Amino acid sequence: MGHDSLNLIQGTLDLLVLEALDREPSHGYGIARWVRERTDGALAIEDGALYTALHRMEKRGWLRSAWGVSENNRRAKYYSLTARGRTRLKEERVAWAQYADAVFKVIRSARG
Amino acid sequence: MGADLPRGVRRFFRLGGVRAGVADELSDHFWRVEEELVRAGWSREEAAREARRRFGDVRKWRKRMESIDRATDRRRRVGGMRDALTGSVAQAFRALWGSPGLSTAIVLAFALGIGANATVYGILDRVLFSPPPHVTAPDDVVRLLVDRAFLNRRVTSSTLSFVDIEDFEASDRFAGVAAYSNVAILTVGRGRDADRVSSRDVTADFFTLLGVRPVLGRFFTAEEDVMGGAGVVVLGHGYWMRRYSGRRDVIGETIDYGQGIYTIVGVAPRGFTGIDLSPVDLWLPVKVSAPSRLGGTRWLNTRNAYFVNAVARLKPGISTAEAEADATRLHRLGREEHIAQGRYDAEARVIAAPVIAARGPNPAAEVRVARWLAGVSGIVLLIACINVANLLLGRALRRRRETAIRLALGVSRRRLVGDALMESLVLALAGGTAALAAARWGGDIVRSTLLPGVDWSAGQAGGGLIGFVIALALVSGAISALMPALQATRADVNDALRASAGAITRTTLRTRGLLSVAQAALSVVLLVGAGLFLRSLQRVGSADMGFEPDGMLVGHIVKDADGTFDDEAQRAWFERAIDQVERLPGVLGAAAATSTPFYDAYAFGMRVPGLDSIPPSPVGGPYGQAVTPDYFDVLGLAVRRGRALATGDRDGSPPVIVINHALSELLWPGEDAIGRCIHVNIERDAPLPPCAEVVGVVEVAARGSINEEATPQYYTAAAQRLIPVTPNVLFVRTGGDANRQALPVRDALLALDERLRFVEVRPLIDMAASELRPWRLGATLFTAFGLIALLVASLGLFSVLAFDVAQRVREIGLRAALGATTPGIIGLVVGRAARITAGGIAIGLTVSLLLAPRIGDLLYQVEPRDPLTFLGVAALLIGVAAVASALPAWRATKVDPNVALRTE
Repeated sequence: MGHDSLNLIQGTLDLLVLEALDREPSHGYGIARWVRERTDGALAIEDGALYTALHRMEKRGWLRSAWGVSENNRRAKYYSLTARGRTRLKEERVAWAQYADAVFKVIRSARG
Repeated sequence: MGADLPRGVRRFFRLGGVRAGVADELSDHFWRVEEELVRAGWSREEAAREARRRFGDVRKWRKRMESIDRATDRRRRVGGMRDALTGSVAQAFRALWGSPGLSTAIVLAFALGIGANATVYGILDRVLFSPPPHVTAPDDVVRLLVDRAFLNRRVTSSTLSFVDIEDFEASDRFAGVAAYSNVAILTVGRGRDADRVSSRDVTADFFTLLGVRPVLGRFFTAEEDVMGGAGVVVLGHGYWMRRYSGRRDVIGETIDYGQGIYTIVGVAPRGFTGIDLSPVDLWLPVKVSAPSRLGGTRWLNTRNAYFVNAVARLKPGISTAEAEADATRLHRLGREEHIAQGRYDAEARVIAAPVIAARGPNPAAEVRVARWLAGVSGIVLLIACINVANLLLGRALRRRRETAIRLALGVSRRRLVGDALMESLVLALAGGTAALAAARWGGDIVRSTLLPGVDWSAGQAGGGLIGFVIALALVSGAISALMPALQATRADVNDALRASAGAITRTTLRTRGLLSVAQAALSVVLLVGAGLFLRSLQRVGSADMGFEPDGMLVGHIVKDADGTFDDEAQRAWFERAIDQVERLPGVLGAAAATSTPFYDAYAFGMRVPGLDSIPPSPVGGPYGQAVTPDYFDVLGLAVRRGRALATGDRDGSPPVIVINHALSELLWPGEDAIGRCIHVNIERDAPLPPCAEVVGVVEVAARGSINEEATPQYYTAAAQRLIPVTPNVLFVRTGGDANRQALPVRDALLALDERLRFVEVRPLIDMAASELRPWRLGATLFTAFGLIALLVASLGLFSVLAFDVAQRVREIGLRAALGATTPGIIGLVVGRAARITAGGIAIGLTVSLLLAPRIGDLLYQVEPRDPLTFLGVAALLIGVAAVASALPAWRATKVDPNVALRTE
C-alpha cells in the first residue's frame, strides 16, 4: 500500500470515529461495532488500527477519555468529543464531500 | 491486574499507568467481542481466537497506543505546569501593581544589595579567582619565592637576584624558568609631550613559558636578550591603542626613552599583564634594559641586587613539593659562599606559589581589599534581604484576612506560599536588573578609585556577571519571601477571620521587631568599621612626619643615559630651578636635596671620635643627604638646638653638619651634640675626611613610611660636597592646593633646559599614596556601604513603627479617650523604637568588639576598640532612630478617639 492510500484510509477512519462519537460517548468496541454496521463491513478495518486512531485523536485534543465501569465490573474507557473534535468533524465532512465530488466527476466523465 | 491498584499508586508510576490503561482497555475490548461471538454461537476458544484475529497484530498496536499515551501524558504535564506558572506570575504582577510604593521600596532594597555585589563581582573575579589572562595551563605555572631569616625575622620575598633565578634553570623539575622585573616608569618623548609609561624587564622565555601569543609581530628571542644587544621592545595592547591608535605598521618603528633606541617587534594581546595585575606598556629584554636603566651590568652578575621575580612552569607530573625541594637545594647551593660567611640564611627555603597571587603567600594589597569588598557587600545584601522580609511581613499582616479567606476557600498553603515566592522573585529580578545597570556604571568608579593599579582591559565577565546577578536575585528573593510566607499561612484560619483589624498576631510582630534589630546590628558593625578607618585617615592626616606635607610639591628630573646632562649641569640646573620657581605666584619657597621621603635614602660610612663604632639602629641608617640652605625652612623641619645650614656654609668654609634628634640620641644619648665632630663618607683605604662640626639638631623627619620609628639622619650643605651625591629632587612649598600648582611649576622647570627629558612634579603626599591607600580604601568602602546599610535599616525601622501606629489606632484612641497624655502616646511609639535601637546597638557593638581586633593591623594609631568610634556610632544610630520614629509618633498623637473607636 502506498502512502496516499494509507492517508485516505486514515482520514476516512478519523471521520468515521468522529461521526460515531458525535451521536454519543462510547468505548472502542461500541465505535468499532457502529462503524461495521454502518458500512456493512465494507471497510475492513483492524480493531487495532481503530484503537490506535482513538489514542492518536485523544493526543490531538479531539477526543477526551474517561474511565467507567463495564457490566462485568472491569474498567472500561469511554471516549467523547471535545469542542475541537466537533470543529474537526465539520471540517472533515466538508473536505470528504469535496473529495468525493471530485472523484465522482472523474468517474462520470470517464464513463460519458 | 493494574485495575486493582489504588489510583495514587498508579499515578506515581506513570509509565505503569500508561501500560495498565492500555491493557485494561484491550482486555475490556476482547471480553466484549468474545461475549458477542459466544452469543452468536461461537465456542469460547474460537471466539477468543477470532477477537484477536480481528484486532490484528496485538503487540504492535499495543506498543503504538502506549507510545501515543506517553506523549499525551508528557504534553499534559508540561501544559499544566506552564498554566500554573503563568497564573502565578500574572497573580504576582497584579499584586505588585496593587501596592506600587511597597514594590518600589523592595526593588530598591534588592537593587542596592544585589548592585553592591554585582559591582564587586568583576573585581573579585579578576583579583581572586581568575588566572592571569592569556596564560596557557596556568595550573602548572608557579611563582618562586624565597622564605628566609633576615634581620631577626622571617621574610617571604619575591624579588631575587638575577643569578638566583639562573640557579633554578639547572632543575629538571621545571619545563622552563623566566625572570621579570617589577614595574618601572619610563619617559617616552620629551618635555610637555612626554609620556610616562610603565615597563617590565623580562627574559625572552617569559612569553614562551606562559604560552602567550602576540597579536602582532613577535616576542623577542633569547638571541636578542643579551647584554649589549640591540634594543627591541614589545608593546602592551593598551599602550599600542593609546599611543599608536592600534596601527598595524608600528613594527620596525623605534621608541626612545633616553636609554638607547628600542625597535618595536610585536604587540602583546589585550589585557596581558604577565602574571601580575598592573598594566604594562612596554616589555623589554632584561639583559638589554636593566644595565641601561640601573647603570652597569653588575646588576645581572651579583647576588646582592634583588630586582627580579621568578616564574616557572612545572614539568608534567611534577608536584609542587618536588619542585620546591629541588629549587631549595639549588638555591642553597648557589648561595653556598654567602651561607658559609654567615651572610645568608642556611635554612632559606624556596616556595612554589600558585600563579593566582591571591592564593599564595604575601598576597598584594589588592587581594585584601577584594576580600573586604566581598565581605562588606555580602553584609549589605543580607541587610537588604532582611529589610525586604520585614516589608513583606508587614504586607502579609495587612493581607491576613484575605489570606485566611483564600485558605478557607480551599486554596492550598503550597499555592499561597508559591504565590508569595513568585512575587518576591519578580521583585528580586527587577532589583537585579537595576543592579546590573548600577554595576555597569558603578563598577568603573569602584575599579578606578579603589583599585587603580589593576589592568581591567581583559574585559568584564559579561555572561558570568548576568548569571551571577540572576542567581543572586533568585536566592535573595527566595530567602526574603519564604519566612513571611510561611508565617502568613501558618495563621489559624478561624482566628484570622474572627479577629478584627485591631488584633495582631503576636509572633509576627515580634519577628518584625527582631528583623529590625538584626538590621540595626549589622549597620552598626559596618559603621564601626567606617569609623575606625575614618579615624585612622584623620590620624594619618595629622601624623607628625616632622615636616608639613600639605602644599608641598616634589620635582624629580628624568635624564637621558647618554651623559650629556652631567653632575655639574645638574647642580647648576637645581640652582636655577630654585631661583625660577620662587618667582612663580603661589610659591613660598624652594630647596633641593638628594633624597625624597617615602622614596629613597642613602647611607654613607661614618666615624665619630671617641666611639669605636656607630651603634646600630633598628630602622637602619644613619642616612645622609646634601641639601640647599632653605631646605629646613621649606619643609618646615624645626631646629631644636643650634642653627640650620646657611648660605655661608659653602665650598672652602669650615665643614658643618646638621643632625636630627634621633642621631643625636644614638651617638651621644642625653648629651648636647652641638660642637661635636663627625667624619662622614668614610671609605676603606682612603684618608680620613676632615671633621664636620655639628652646628644644629633638628626634629626627626619621616623617611621610609609615615608609620615608622625615629630614623637617624643628617644633613650636609650641598655646596660643601661632603658626601658624593648630587641634588636630584626639588621641594617646592606652595601656599595653597599643591595639586593645582603642580602643572605651572612643571612647565616652568621644563623650560629651563632642553637637555632634560622630563621633570615629574607631584604633591609630596603622593609619594606616600600607596601607604595611605589601605586607609583611604577602608574608609571609603565602609563609609559608603555603612551609609547604605544605615539608610536601609532606618527605612525598615520607619516602616515597622508606621505600621504599628496604623494597626494600633483603636488602642491608641482608647488610651486617649481614657485620658492618656500626648507624651504618654509618643512614649508608646518611641518606646518600641528605643527597644529595637537599643537591641541593635547592643548586638552590633558586641559583634564589633569581637571583630574589630582583626583589622587592628590595618588601622593607624587607633585602637580597634576605640571608645570614641563606638560611642559615635551608637549616637548616630540613636539619632537616626529618633528621626525615623518622629513621623509615626506625630501620627499617633493625631489619632482622634471618636473616629478610632468607631471604626469597625
